[in-house]
Amino acid sequence: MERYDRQLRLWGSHGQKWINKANICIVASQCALFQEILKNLTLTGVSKFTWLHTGEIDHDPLFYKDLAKGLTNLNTTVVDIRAQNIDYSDSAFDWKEYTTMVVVNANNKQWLENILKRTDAEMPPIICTYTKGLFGYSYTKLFVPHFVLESHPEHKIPDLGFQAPWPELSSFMSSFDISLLSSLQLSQLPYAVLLYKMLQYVKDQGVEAPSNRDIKAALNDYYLGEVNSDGFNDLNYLQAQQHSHLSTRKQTFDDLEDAISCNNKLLQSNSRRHSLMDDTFSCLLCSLGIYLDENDRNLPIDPNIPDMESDSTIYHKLKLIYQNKWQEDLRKFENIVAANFPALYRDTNLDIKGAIRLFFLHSREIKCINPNEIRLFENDGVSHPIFRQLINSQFEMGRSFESELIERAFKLTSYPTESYMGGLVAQETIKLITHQFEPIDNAFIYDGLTNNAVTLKV
Amino acid sequence: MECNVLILGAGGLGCEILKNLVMLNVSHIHIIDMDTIELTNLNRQFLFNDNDIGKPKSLVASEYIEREFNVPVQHFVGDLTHLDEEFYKQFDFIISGLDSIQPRRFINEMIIRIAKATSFQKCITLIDGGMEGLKGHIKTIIPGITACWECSLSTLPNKDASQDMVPMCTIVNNPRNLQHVIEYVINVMVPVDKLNLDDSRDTKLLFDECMKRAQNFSIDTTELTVSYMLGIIKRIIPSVSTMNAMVAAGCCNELVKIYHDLIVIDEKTGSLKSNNFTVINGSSGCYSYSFQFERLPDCTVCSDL
Ligand SMILES: [Zn+2]
Repeated sequence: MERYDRQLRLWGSHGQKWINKANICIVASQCALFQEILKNLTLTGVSKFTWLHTGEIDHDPLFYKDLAKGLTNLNTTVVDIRAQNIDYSDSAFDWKEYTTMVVVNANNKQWLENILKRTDAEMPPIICTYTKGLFGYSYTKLFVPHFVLESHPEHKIPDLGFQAPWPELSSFMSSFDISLLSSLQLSQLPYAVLLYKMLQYVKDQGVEAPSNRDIKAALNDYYLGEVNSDGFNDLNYLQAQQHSHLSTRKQTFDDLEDAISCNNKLLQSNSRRHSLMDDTFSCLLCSLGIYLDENDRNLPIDPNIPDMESDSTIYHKLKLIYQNKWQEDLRKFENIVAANFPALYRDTNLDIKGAIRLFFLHSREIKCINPNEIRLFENDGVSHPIFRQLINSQFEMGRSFESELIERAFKLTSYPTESYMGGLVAQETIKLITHQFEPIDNAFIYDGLTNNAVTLKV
Repeated sequence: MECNVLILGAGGLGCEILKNLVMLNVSHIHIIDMDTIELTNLNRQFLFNDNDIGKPKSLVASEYIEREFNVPVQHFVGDLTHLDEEFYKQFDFIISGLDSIQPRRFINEMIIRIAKATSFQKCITLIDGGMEGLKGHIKTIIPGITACWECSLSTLPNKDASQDMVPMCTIVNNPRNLQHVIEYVINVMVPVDKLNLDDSRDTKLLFDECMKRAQNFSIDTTELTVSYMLGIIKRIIPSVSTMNAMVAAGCCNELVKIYHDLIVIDEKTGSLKSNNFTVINGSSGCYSYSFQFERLPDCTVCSDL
């Protein structure tokens, strides 16, 4: 097994490829939080950094006395940290070459405000972070929408595609003459077959769109009443009961529709970031819009149907029907990409077929996170007391504590807080780099005193 | 910080916890682990590098700290369940970064027993961290004051639930996916306890059997690789440096709070007012929720305390 095995199980080798290519800019002094972020990113495989040194001398205890030496051997390539002193007045600095930018414990408010208020679309996402005592925050600023391609939802609802059955599925279903099967044979049918037959039965009775509750009752009436009165304990029937809602479920995909229309606007106005990854995904999203236009807005079928208690030969046939249909859909999609974006399709710098395949496979998980107005520094912009306190402390704008306990927790020095936020910020950076998992939208406050973290939108 | 702390496990969480304790200037640090370093540890266990593969984790971790910080760390290579009350009695805190349940139950029972035997003269706080992918938990256990680990046992997600639900008859007669195939090979054909899963010849043998059986039942083998197979056999859980750092840091801040008297205990009832149970989930945004887990009145371990 390979070194990255444990994390490849989260984001796959395609995710890892973007991590290996990433170029991260960090604005920081040599402080503990900076070292922690750098350490975590290096461990995941990032090896290209630009460090804009803010020049302050921190008195935090540091884990790496010699940073470059400490990071050697933490990943498989040579870690390249280009360090330079920050020039706060340099307005021509080229930010766009970076995948993501991280600003650590900044205290130059004017500079930060100016950066965050920029309007050029080429700006990379910026994650600002600050810690004090048992508290810390992170704030993610996007300048253009961020597309999440694989959000990895914890509970995926299977789609059996019964809303728009295709000829192969229909003929597979009608190949079973239910009335001729024995109880044993019936018990070996996947629940998808029972649900499909039940839907036909309901339709024959003149009901077009039964509710979820009616569906359960109809399954009872049909299967136990008409087909197999001994089947009430069969696993396939119990599964059919459990999943009966799938038979009439109309899949909605508002997130995807949002992402497509948002991307189309960006393409028209050309106010977007240009990079291999951004360009590729932008073309693919646009192509998916065309695909939906041409296919009655039906999403590509999901080739990974859930396991169903049944005879393996029958299940295998059923699964193949979904997989073949998906392959067919994929070919259609590929043709759309080739016709509309011939240059991308012929690009030899990336495995375009692989990228198309993955994009299409996960198209149900696509989400769009919109850029936010920056209100961090406005008086009413941040009302959360601890967040407010942190910002006041960061820019030396005075402080007042809600309680003696909070004051003590604030004045403490605790390395684990840097470590916590170092983990969090690196994790958010990885999400932005890979376009996998939903990033925090947009502020996160760590409260180590109560252990209750809060996500806010400012 | 003047206190005596034992770290259970020198894996992903253990390395982070050790680093944090060193940075907090904890005066006496001990670390115990029975495992040796493997290549797949290196994406998060940052006190080790390629040259350390095969060496005991607790040894290499303590050597790193002694070399870089000139701070002594007592290390033990071995099974923590083989150590007795006399050993555990010396600690003020035990922070656990283990990945299995049995040793956690052992240590929980141990600290409760010590508290009982010494009539609370020796009350060791156990802080337990755990993680899986982009999720994690932190539990703080103060004998007699908070719920113990056993009290919260029922909250464990039953990881094997989905697998247990596959009836044996499916695995034997009607395999429909790779998981069914692999379960058959290791449960029926080649009992896995007779094999060495770190030996490539043994894994090849298993792999070939899985491939054959999958093909016999026309099951799609595109995803079937040695790594996929081992993932199922060893029940490998994904892990990454970032969430690992967050969980370990959460554990260490628990210690900081107790040491600096930042947790609130009700004067009258002697029970904890602060939260003792935290879950983190970083896969969609970052969600962290903390609450007070109540003691179970009929807990088999701590109810008579
Ligand atoms: Zn208990």
